[in-house]
Amino acid sequence: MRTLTTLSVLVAILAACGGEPQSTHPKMPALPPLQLLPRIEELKQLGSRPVVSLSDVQQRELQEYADVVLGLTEADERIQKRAERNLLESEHAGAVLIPALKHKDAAVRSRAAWLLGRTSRSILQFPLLLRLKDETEPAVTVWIAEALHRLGNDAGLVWIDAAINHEATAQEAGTAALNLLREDGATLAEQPTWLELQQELQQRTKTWRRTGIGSRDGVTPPDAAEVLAILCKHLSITESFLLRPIDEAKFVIIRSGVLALPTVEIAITAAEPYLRSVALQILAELGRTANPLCTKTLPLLEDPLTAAYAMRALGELGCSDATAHLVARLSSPDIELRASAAGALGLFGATEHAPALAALMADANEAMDVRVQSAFALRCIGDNSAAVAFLAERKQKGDYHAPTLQILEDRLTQNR
Amino acid sequence: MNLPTRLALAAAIVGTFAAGIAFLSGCNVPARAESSQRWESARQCQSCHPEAFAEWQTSHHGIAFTNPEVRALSDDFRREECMDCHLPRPLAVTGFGKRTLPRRTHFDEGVSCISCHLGEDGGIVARNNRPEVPCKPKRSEAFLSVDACMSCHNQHQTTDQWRASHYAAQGIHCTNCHMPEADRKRPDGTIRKGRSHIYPGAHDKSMLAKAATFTAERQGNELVLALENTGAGHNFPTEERHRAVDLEYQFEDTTGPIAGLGTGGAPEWSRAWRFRQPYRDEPGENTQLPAGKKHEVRVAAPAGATAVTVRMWYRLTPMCNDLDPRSTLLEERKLEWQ
Repeated sequence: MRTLTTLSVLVAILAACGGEPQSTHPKMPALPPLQLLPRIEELKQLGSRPVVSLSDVQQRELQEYADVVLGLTEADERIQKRAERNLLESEHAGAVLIPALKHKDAAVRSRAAWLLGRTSRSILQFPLLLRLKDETEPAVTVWIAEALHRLGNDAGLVWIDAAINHEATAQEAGTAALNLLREDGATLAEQPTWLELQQELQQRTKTWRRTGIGSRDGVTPPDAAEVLAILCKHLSITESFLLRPIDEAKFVIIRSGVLALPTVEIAITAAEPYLRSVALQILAELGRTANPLCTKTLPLLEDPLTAAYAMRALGELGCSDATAHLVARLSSPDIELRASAAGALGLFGATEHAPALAALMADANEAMDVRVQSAFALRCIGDNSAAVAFLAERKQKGDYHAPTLQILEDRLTQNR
Repeated sequence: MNLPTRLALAAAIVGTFAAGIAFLSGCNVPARAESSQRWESARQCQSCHPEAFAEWQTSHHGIAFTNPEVRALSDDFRREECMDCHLPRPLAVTGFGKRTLPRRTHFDEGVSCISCHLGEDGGIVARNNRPEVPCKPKRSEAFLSVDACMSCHNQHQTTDQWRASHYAAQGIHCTNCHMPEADRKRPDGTIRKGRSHIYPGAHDKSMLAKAATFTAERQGNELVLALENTGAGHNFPTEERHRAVDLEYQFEDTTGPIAGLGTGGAPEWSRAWRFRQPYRDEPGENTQLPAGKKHEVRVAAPAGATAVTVRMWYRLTPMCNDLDPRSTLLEERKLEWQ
């Protein structure tokens, strides 16, 4: 009898620990110490590289070539070809083509982007990325995206894909896609369908999101110091109250793929909290591409100011080493930490913690933010009818912020 | 089966059942650490401060994250940097006067009581030390300073504009106009002086009407329109990106309105001047009117003019026309011309 009682208690204890103590209560290794350093000045220094100044003669000569190839000066075909060759051979072609990306005539902007893509200078992807942000003409966007691809950056392919769906840009986008895919050696039918082109583009986008490496072969990577200088300059200005520099820094760095990692690595350990938080938001958007920064991100779980951002980043990066730390934070007294921990566990599919997340979701005494994030996490982990029903109920009852629910829904369909 | 065996069996069943419940309910979530009172939601303030809560709830602080106008402009807050100020964590966390950090909870509370009143130590900050009341507020000079507003409102240089004005030199702060004194009832029925939490500003016509003085007069054959910033402690309009103030006119002759330039908010009107800071790549220079400054515009009257009607508009967004509810007609006057 005593044996039976002891057995039942043992069963209870074992079950209380999920039956497999090692899988549900992973041993929590100590976090590496959190070391924050003033970074803004460092970023400014890294970002201040000497500007290559062209002589007046060089500048004038390049401008003349550019005016011809951009169609701003009339010239016969022979002169146009010679001007194009001379311009593309110049290592300073960017000096006259980058300003043309802001020309009032959309055709000139498209042509400038087209030419930049043919300079073979992958460092020029950064001004193209910045222009991609502000460009409002869909046809120009297609050529910016095409140029980006040629320079080793696939962040713009989604725009070509989207432009194929619109009547006004379908032909131009389709032509651009067909040419670049053929040059890439993609296996396409002789007369591929729109859908076939779009599927190829989507496949490349998916790979880009996972790896941060462009699919075009033979692109010489840009000089690492030059990239660091450009991206650090972007991030160093986030200390001001202005929104635009932050907007631009985020847009460009998020779309820089693996090239962004050295800059972000510096910024996530910034003693300046705003810079640190922006870097962590960028990290989350970089997703799996930034997985090598997992270890560097972990200590930020101890940072009271940015731990919630760090959790989201760890989730998006797929840092499974963070599991135990995230589980521990499911019981934090801070709602935001509990909610972020739940969401992050879902982002890297911590299947073994689905029961814990389900319990949080079902707990009527828990804050709705935590319950919704738990439901989102369960949906990330797999088909969970209870979570689907819970989120649908929020929508129907209107007792949780609808646009936020939509953002979570969108994230589920992104399939990063 | 004897009693002890039955009891043991019952214990085993109960134990197994408990184990099942525990497993299914995910008891691997450690018990939540209990702490002293945590201030997390504006609703915690409501019972003791119902009037201030009600004022705040419908104010532009209260709806900062849910306001459809903001949601549209921020692409439903996919532009995360907008969240910094529309869903801020407590300002004291990063320091009053410094940039804010956004939170990801309590989405319906926007800029809440907690955003401004939570101190660095997790306690409440306010104007007075009140250890005898439940939230035990402590006086904070930083909370009372312009820095408390600056964290968000200098995103568009409004605080810098104020600092450059004579209002700063005279010690007239943001709260003097945007948080005027209000009577508050104590539990014992007596009245104390508190501060309004409505925050009137660009959405308040009476506030806008006090900001500037508009004049229109005839000088020879010219219509002279002038606007002087006589009431705003910052530029008028302030804020980059959206706001604009337009001065418009429409001449008429004996047959009716004379066709104008069509540059006003309605086709038959002409715009004499727009006060606005261009946004991003928008061409033009900043024409906002700094505190105490005046700007004059002269328009030649067309031949045969018998009268002119002038209007001053405040626009929440520069793209909207006269019929748009985001346009507020602040003044309209008619001058005889003969």
